[in-house]
Amino acid sequence: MLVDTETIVKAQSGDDVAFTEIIQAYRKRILGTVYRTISRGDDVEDVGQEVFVRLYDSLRQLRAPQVFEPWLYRLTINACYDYLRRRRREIAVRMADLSEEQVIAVDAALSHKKALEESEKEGARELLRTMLDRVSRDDRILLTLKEIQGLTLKELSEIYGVNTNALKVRLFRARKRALKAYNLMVEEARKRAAEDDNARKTPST
Amino acid sequence: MTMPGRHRVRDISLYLNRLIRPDAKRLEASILDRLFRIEAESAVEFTPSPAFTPGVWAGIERQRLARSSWAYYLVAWFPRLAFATMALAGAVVLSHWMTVGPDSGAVALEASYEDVLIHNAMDQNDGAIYLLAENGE
Repeated sequence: MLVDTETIVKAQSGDDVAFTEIIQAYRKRILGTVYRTISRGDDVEDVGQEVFVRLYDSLRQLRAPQVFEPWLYRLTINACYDYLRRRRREIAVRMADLSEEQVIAVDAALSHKKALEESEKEGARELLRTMLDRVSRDDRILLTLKEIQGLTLKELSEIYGVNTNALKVRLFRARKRALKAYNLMVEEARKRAAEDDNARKTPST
Repeated sequence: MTMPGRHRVRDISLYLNRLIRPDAKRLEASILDRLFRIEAESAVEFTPSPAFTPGVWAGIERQRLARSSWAYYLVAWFPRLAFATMALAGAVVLSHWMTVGPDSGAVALEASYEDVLIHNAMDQNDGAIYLLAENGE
C-alpha cells in the first residue's frame, strides 16, 4: 500500500490532513487507471476528482483498512463506468476517427511484423481504443485492468468480489468479444476500402 | 487434437477449421495480446495538474453544502419513505383481511318470507298446504 493503515484510520475519523496524504499518494495511480479506462484526456482529472470525492464520502464505511486498495479500485471502476455510460453517444461518434487505410495497415503490421514502427504503434493504440469503445463497459474495464494495467487475477478477484475461476471465465469471454470487435473493424475497413476502389474505378456519368 | 463425436456437426466443423487453419486462432489471439502490450508498454503517465487536489476539496465542499439542504434529505430518503409507506399500507390491508376474513360465508336469501313459509309447509305436509295456497284458499 502507498499509505499506512494509520493514515487511513485517521482519514476515516475525519482528519483532512490524512485524507490529503491519501490523495497525494494515490492520485497518479488512479488517474492512470482512469486515463486507460476512459481514453479521454480532457475528462481524466474530472473523473479522478470524482473518485476522491466518493472516497471521502464513503471512507467511514470501510471496515478493514487492509482492503483499502481494492476498495479504492472499485470506486475508480464505478466512476469510470458512470462516465462511460454518460458519454456513450460521444464515443459512438468518435469511432470514425481511424481511417480504413490505417486499420488495414495496422492489422497487416500486427500480423506480419515483429517490431513495429512508432507510427504503427500509435495506430495500434488508436485501434485498441476504438476496439474497446466497441465492447461493453464491463468488458472494457476488465480488459483494461487485466491486460493493460497488469493487475493479477488475485487483485482483480478482490476488486470484483468474485473467485479467480469466475474471473477467468469472464476474461475469456471478454477477450473473445474484443477479438470479434477487432475482426469486425478490420472487415468493415476492408469492405469500405474495396467500395472506395470500385467507386474510383467506375467513372461517374 | 481429438476427433469429434460422430453426430455432432458443430464439433466436426470446428475440427475441420482447426485442421485447415491451425494457426488462425493463435494468430488472432496474438494480435490481441500485441495490441494490449503496445498500450501497456506505451507507459502513458498521467501527471495531475496542480489544481487537482484543490479541485477534490472543492468537490467535497460542494457535496457538504448540498447535503446541508433539506432537498438533499428528501431525495435521499424518498425511496425509504416510499418503501415504508407501502409496507404500512400492506400491513393495514393484511390486518383488515385477517380480522374480517376474506368471505364470512353468509348466504344472501333471495326468497321472500312468504316463499320460505310455503317451502317449509311443503316439506312438512307433503305439498298439501302449497296446493291450497296456489289456489288462493
